Amino acid sequence: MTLLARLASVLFAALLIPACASVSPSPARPELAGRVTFGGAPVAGATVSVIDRYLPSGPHVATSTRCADDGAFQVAVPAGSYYLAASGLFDGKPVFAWSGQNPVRIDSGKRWLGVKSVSMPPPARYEAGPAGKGASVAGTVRFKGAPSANAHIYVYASPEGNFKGMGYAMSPPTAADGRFAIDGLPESGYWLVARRRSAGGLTGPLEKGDLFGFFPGNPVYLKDGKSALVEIEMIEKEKALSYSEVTSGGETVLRGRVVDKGGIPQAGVYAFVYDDRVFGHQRPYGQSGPTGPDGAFAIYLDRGGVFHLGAREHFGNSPAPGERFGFYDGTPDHAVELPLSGKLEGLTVVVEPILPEGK
Amino acid sequence: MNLRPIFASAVSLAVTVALLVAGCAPLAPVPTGPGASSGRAKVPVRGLASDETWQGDLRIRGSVIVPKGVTLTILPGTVVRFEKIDVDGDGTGDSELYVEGKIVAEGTSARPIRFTSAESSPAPRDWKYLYLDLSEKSSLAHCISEYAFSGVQVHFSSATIRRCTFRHCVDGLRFSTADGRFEGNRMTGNVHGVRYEERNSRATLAGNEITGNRVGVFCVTESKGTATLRGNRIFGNEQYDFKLGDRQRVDIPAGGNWWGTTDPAAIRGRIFDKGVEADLGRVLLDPILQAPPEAVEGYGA
Repeated sequence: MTLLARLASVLFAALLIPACASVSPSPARPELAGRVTFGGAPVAGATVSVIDRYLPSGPHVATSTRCADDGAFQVAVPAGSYYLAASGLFDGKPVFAWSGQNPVRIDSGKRWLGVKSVSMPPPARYEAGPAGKGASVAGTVRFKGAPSANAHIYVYASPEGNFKGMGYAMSPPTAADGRFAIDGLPESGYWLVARRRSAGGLTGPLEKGDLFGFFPGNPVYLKDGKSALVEIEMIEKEKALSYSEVTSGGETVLRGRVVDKGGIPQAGVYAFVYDDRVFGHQRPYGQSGPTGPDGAFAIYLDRGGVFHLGAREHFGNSPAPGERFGFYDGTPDHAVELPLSGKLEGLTVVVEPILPEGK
Repeated sequence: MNLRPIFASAVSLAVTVALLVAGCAPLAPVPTGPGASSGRAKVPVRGLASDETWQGDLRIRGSVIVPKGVTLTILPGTVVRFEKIDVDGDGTGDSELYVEGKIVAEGTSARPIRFTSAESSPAPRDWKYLYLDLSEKSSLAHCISEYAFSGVQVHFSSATIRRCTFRHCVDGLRFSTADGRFEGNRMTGNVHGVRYEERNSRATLAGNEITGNRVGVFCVTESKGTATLRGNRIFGNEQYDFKLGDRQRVDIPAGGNWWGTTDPAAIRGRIFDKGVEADLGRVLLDPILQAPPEAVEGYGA
């Protein structure tokens, strides 16, 4: 069952059993709260689904709730990590939302989320695909209803990885008409996510002003010899809120500064951690936003443990000659250890250009 | 519009970080099995606190790190034996020598330096590798590195490696994003004699003998010809003398090498490139050397 269908069934169930929406959350349990909006206006009565995992048949909704007339919602959940999605009607037309903060981590207290919805696109439809090219997907990416150029569609073969990183396949940038096409895929179910980064680039955290969209019919089953046609509407990323800014619960954070060999703070560098001493080409376990003029960084993590800390200038691919790069040198293997809901502060990472001329 | 998707990289560039020595006292037992050490077993790690000079017969169990700013000097005739431990159960030994500072291991033809397995019946992958990561101006000469996953790996580093022998490993010499001079070495008995991802490397691979491997030279991906391969003897490898990875779509200049014959068709038959897979780049062979290059000092340690 697709997310679209699952959300529809949840909405139906919620209408039948309105009492469910009126149950007050236990004050002892963590609570997700926020507001669902469309174009800045509240979506009254929207259904907010808290998805704890994906099954082969589709999302598993752990719990759900309905928004009040002002679009506000609150729902108590066990501590954990969730995807938050919403659907409803605005001006009589269906809308859909996928939280830009997914996966949402909540340990205790209340976490607040602003949830921006878009017009619900039609379900995927199928036509004959290019001959001999396996399964295909094609369609249009839009922002505020207009075709969006320079967006990429990321194809994920599973929810593992939380729909981050480069995925199984990725489209070239969309043209001015917002169109994309990807073929040569093995027949299977896939999750489709669209992103457009203002600064270009293919990977790394989205910045304020970047666009992203999650197809509500995910996972889309792509059939051999067929092309699935989809439309994906994107929303604009607000300031990337840190965990501490949206929750009153405990937080696990690494803080420090990135400097050069002479101790001068380095701006525009990302600190990162891996939970394995072999980095490989995997995504970091966590990363900071770009450092400011003071070189300060903060990495918010969803658990404690041993992490290997470093910093680099760019995301994606392997570091290139000239790129500022370095590890935390307080331990031989660059490891730091912190407890859950703990802070580790005062860390220093020294970065230097890789392979500068003459060395 | 029918555009090809860009498939995500699954290439492993091991930027491993840690390591431990020896030659010194045995270290604490290595935790093994599920749940060991807070859910994740750890490879013992020892970082050199200051410059060290090694000589004689040494053993390494776990990971030894030469940190940034520290120099490890290994004297001629030294034997470094890596104990076989496999904490993560991946089938490759975890003992390694990991250099982020500088290593100077310069043996002589009479007294080479040897990096080898501590096993009585050694086999490839008994230990992990000698790894240069962000290292500056490291130097290996007259070294033998054997029975490892990689005889040596060089990444984000400047290094000179000459007259060394890399044998009985998965990868003899492996590099990416390296500013290296690799000259007069012998790679034999490995799965890949040389494996590289150029990634803007300014490496020079010259005057080496690469023979008796499963694949002589394996150019995996991300290569545009900024590395130089000239004057090498690349012949007699089991499957291919030169192979391109399945995402290497750009042609690779490889002129000025000796391929064991002057027959272009016979040489082409030993190359895995566009001639086999239409999507790949081509290994550019011209000019083909018409005779084996003279080895000024010989090959290997």
